[in-house]
Amino acid sequence: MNAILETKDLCKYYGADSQLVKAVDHVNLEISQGEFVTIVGKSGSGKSTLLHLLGGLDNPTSGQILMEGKDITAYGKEEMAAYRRRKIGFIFQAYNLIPSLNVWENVILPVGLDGKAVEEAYVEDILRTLGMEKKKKNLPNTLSGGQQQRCAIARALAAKPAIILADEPTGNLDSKTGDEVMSLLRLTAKKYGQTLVVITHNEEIAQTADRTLLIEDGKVVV
Amino acid sequence: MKRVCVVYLGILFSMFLILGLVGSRMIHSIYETQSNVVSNLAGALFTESGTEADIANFIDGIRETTPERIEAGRELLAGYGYSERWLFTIQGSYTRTMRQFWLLLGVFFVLFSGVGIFYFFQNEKRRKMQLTELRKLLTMCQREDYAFSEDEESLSKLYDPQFADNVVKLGQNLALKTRQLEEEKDQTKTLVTDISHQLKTPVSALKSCFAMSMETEGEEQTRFLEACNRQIERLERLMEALIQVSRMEQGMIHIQPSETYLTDILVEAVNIVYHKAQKKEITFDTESLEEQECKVMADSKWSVEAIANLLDNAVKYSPEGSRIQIRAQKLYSFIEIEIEDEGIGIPKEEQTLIFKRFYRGKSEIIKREDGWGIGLYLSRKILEEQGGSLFMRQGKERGSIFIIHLPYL
Repeated sequence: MNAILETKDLCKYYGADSQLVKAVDHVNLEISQGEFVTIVGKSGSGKSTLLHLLGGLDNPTSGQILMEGKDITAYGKEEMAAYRRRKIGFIFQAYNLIPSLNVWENVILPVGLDGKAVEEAYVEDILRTLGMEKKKKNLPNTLSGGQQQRCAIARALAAKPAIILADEPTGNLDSKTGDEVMSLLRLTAKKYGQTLVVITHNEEIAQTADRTLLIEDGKVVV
Repeated sequence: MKRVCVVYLGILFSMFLILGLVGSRMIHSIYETQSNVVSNLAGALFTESGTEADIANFIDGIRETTPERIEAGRELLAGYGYSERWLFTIQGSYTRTMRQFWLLLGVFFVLFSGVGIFYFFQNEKRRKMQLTELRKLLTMCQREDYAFSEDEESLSKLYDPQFADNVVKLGQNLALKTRQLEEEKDQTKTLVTDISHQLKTPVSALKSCFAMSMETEGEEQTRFLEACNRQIERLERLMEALIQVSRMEQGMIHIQPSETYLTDILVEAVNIVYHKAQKKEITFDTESLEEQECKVMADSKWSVEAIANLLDNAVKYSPEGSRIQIRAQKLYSFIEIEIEDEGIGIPKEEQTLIFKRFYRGKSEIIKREDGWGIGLYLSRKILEEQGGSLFMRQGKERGSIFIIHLPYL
């Protein structure tokens, strides 16, 4: 069994009858461990919905999502929260940092929420790789966009997730900073053996992926 | 473990408490019995008769115990046939109390050792179970079945969480290694297929040229032999490229990043293609490089190779007299090197494909040029191996820009 994440006939519908919107429509995909997959498609094609389903942020209408062979759609609320904390690292276009916490506190927050001891050396290493070791004590509002996104990447990595799900991670950054953030994300994912799934509009990001999925009207076309 | 200790201590403490309470109650009853005996004796001796002196003697006897008096009393009583033992028997409460005391001790002993034995066996059972489970895990490992790593819950029930976590990590690691091994096997298979495919064309060309040269004479023969030679040279270049790829694929190339000046790498890479560029009167524009005296973490030999590949492509697919710009810029964690040419450019739909092994562009110009679809693949591999990346974007007007990220110091 090669796939770390697999979906079987995954569907997510909104509304009913004539108003029915098929955001995700019978999606079957397999993502292998350590793979870097980009998801491209027009806005409204259902990419974000798919990513949210994979990350357990949303419940599918039907179908299965198998994470390391276990169906997460059968999980209860508690189990789902634990799944999100332990297995998934999220990176969004908006960095979603907590403004009153400094960089270090933001990064270790998910680990703390899980009631685990923080592996300081590991987190330090992540921050060093991301070039943020000198900004540990800074509050988010004193950082540039690129630095805030780096902080968000560090947070996503801190809990040693199996998969990193990123939704337009460079959407708010200028192209140079965005390119660099992606290079860092690839570098860290490779270094820590993580699987990377990235939604993007950016062709250059798609180029560097092992595989690109094109989504149209909720279906995986390629 | 902690909980067990607390429970055990609790039991010990309550036993101590009970023993203390019951014990002092017994001692108290002994005291009571004794004082009753004395009062009883006084009653028996002095209610009917008894002089002041007798009473005084009696009270003195209560107040002070001397060995001589005890001895004298014992002898007196023994003369009437009352032994010490018999005295206890009539005072039944002594034996009763004694019996109660020993019974209590016995109950406590049984209880205490029972709890101990229970825990011991429980522990032993658990240990045995842990061992059996561990043995099962090891057997599974030998069969390359790492399903256990997916069931952290039942493992952490049996072992302490840290140990369970380690076992899970080990299982996952081994599973990954096994998968990688299988993937590598598959990759090697495709590599062999790809190579044989690549070899087919020049070899069959060589074969027909050779056949033709055998059948012809004079000038014509020379022409065919020259064609043979071209094919042989082509094969030679292919061989070199393949050797590099196979080394890369098999991890035989050990890329060892070290502190290197970026300019050194770039200058050397330019030198490799300089001659070829000169023939086409292509110039290199490196104006923004002069001030970039920065160091990167890179394996200089292989990085030169990677960048020279890109420059070689730029030269190959650019018109005569055009310009190739090389720019370098410090980013936050990376040095960004951009190589911009004024060449034919790469259509959008091919931009992802060009980095794949043995992929060749579809256009006629590319087909005319010698190449195996290895260069970009190799360059990316080399750069990614050192924590960098390689991608491209369309030039502003025409041509392409290849962008390299290398981690810097």
